[in-house]
Amino acid sequence: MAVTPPGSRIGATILRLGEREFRVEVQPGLAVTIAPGEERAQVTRLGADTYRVVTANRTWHVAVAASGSRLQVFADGNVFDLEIGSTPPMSRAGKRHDGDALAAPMPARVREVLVEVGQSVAAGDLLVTLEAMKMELAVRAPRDGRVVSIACRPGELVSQGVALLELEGTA
Amino acid sequence: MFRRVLVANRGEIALRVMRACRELGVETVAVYSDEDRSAPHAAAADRAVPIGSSSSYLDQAALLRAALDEGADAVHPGYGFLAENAGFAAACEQAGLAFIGPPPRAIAEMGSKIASRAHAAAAGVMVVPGEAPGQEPSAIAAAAARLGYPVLVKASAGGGGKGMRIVGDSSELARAVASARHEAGAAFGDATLYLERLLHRPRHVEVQVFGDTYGQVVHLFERDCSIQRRHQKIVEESPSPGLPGALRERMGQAAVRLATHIGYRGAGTVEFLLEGSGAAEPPFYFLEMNTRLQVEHPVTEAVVGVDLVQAQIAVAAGEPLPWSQERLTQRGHAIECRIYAEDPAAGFLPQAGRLAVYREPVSPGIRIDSGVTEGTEIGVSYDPLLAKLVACAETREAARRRAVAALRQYAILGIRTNIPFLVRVLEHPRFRDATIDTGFLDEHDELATDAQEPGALAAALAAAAVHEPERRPPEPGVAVAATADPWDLLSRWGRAWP
Repeated sequence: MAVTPPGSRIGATILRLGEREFRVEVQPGLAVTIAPGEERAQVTRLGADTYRVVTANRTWHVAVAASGSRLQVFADGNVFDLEIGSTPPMSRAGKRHDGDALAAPMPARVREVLVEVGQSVAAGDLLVTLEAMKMELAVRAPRDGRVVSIACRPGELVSQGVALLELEGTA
Repeated sequence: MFRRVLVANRGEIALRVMRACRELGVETVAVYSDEDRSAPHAAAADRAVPIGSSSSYLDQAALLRAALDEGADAVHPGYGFLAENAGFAAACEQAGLAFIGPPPRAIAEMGSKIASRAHAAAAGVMVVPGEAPGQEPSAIAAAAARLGYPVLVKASAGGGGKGMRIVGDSSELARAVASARHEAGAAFGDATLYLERLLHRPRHVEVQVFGDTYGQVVHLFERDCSIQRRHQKIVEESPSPGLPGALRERMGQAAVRLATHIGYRGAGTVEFLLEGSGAAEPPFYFLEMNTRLQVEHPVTEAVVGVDLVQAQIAVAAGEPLPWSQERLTQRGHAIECRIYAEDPAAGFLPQAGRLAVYREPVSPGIRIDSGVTEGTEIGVSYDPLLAKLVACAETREAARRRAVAALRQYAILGIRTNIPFLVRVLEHPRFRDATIDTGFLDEHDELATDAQEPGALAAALAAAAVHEPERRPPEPGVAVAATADPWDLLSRWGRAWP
């Protein structure tokens, strides 16, 4: 008779890895079926965020860290960034078509802002330089356009995904 | 012996130095920047002094003031920051503090690539064929033509590949010289360049040397650091696989000759390039000397059975070397992997963020030198090195397997790390067969892509679907996992409920 540890999620969960979507069904006793593919796995909980998972080919020791709808998973040296839920509606839908915000690729300190509002730039032009962990990162114009607004200052710390400046495109 | 040592560094190396001090019964003073207020190194010391902004580990006045205010009698610089700054070493001594490192003059002489090549040649150590011409373009072009292309343009004050350019033919020279000069000037404040012949598929083999105040110098054998990415070492090992005994002996003697010639004291490393590893007796060329403790010093400690940091402290306190050359031997094999906060799949982009999960593997023959704990916030101001994993075993293959097994248990979440990449490097047939040279990683870009093992995704999905982040602890008597699983006890993987 399968005993389900308290607090475990029973039922179906949609999980995404990049563009791929999976429907993962957890039965009582933590027997798991993954679609597509109908792959089966048996999960045993080891601790608050650690699991032993037996798949068709071997046994894995897995750690999970959750942050909102995002899950990062470590499975014997393999790492996956998963997202809970079906593909959200395109986030671009609400955006202006001619505008494009250029975002920081990682948390960093802004070193230099090399353009001004209103300036026209060509694809490949250096717009902003960032510095992180002794490495310099260049933010370049993805295409020709005009700088509409600048949202960062030299010396400022920016987090990943924060808009640095907005470019109005001619494309 | 010293009473109290100020550790002018942060991260894993600060903790490493403090551990040695504690074993010697010496008190420690940590310094920490605003960002490092809750860093492990600040907590580990007997005293901790705030020194200001993120760049303050370079603030000589603040460091000296902290040392004097706290009654320290010596300063250990670790590596990086001010470790190879002759001015800081001299300033320490002028302030009446022992600098746990070589004499300022040795740092200055070896810090210049051009001067250090001259010293090596004078000590009878072969240098990479090269020239230090005048800095005007015509002189550089003439020197390059004499050496023959491809040629390597290097910065005299250089390190870590900065200010270095490979030049295929004369048409590329002017541009390469200009950009190397710019980069060297910006990075080191010294734009002096020199030229070297480009060696074919060299291996990077370095010799650990150690001198004392009484003129004794020994070597502690070699480390092979051929696994590099853009001149940054990633994996280091000792002994160097396949190195003939006679050659090892000659390299050790050459390193000792150079260290003796410059009056070296303390721990240092003489780096060589070994050309044509297939030859029975390949030539080895002096590359540079690092006048400090190396990041990869633990592999030497593992196979020679010594504590290099304790020896540094003892020698700086005026004690004679704790070893004689005849008594030093290598035993077994050690491999070090550098764990970096970076995403190989995204062009090795450094990662910042909180370590939501950080579980170090625990196993016989595994040593972890780390500067972080679970919950540590990785900022953007410092080097992305999180930790070093050192596996030691009877043979190279056993050490390799031990390292791979430990990496597979080294769960770090919250940010991406290079652990999956390291597993792929160590599992690569060329690493297994030790047919490696310094070009290996740059020739195998595919190692950087996120190739997952079959079944791993299914395991990850299954665990993720079961996972409830805000979970209550289990009620007593409810069957969860049998916590007495020996594997879990060995690895400390299964942790207590929150």
